[in-house]
Amino acid sequence: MKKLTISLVVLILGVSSFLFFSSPNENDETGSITIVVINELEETVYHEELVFNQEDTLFDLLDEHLTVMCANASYQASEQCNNVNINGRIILGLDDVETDWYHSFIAIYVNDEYSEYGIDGIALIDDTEYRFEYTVVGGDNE
Amino acid sequence: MSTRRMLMIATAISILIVQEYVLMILPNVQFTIVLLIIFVSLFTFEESIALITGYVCIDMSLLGGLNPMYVIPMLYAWWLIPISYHTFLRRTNSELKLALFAMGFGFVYGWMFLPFKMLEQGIWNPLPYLIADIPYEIIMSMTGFITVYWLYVPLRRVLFTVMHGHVPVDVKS
Repeated sequence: MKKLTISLVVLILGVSSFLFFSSPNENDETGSITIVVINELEETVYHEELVFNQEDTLFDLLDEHLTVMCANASYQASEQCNNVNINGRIILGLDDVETDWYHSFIAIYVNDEYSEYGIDGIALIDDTEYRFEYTVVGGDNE
Repeated sequence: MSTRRMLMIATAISILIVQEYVLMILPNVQFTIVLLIIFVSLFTFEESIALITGYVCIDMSLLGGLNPMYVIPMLYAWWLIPISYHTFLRRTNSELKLALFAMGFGFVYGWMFLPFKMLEQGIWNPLPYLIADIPYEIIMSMTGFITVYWLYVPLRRVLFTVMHGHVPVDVKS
């Protein structure tokens, strides 16, 4: 009985902390954001101001205005972005900016700060710039 | 090391690899922690280090190459089990103490990759990696705790009996 109780307590603590750390951050009610996409030549290939409301996500806005490629289970680029893993989707391509995850990836900067969350964990905050930058693995990226 | 012991280590590595591949569809849900703790309790320290080194090299070769950015942190992390078992855990057979160790190990395992990830990606802020890894670490900790707490005693009894031909006296039934 003691063993079962201890196991249940640990499981409940584990599941609740998992849900807490996996939950997305909250958006502003409404506002406008700037999306910037930088390619491997460090050229700005997309720069637009977009309006959002609370139900939108950063991924929805990108998907609506750009061609988005996501990583599948084998980290290969795929147009299927519906499979969301524990940490959310991984974007490998935006329009003509394509990465392969192993040698390059798309780094996300929120107001010039490297994002601490992935695409599905980033909140939409009014008057914020979200920059998607082609980044070489192993390079000096800061 | 006798041929018999070497064959036992090879069998242990096979068991570790097979269970890992069977459970690959579930991220971080595996019996590796409980099996390694059992093997470490049955083999000597040197044999355990050899077992883990063999396991990591085969595992990484099967996963597409011996990339030092993954092999080195994996080796350091898994070596912590025999090091801990033979030092501060004092070769305990208490399932609760070992389960608590397994729970903490789930987090330490993830942190081992941090400096290598920072080096690989060239992003010198540790927070994104730490935050992204927390859900995986929680799953690994929970799996480690539950599997060690419930399976350590019965599995160790079976493996000890296979290896020595009699039931261990140091593990209560």
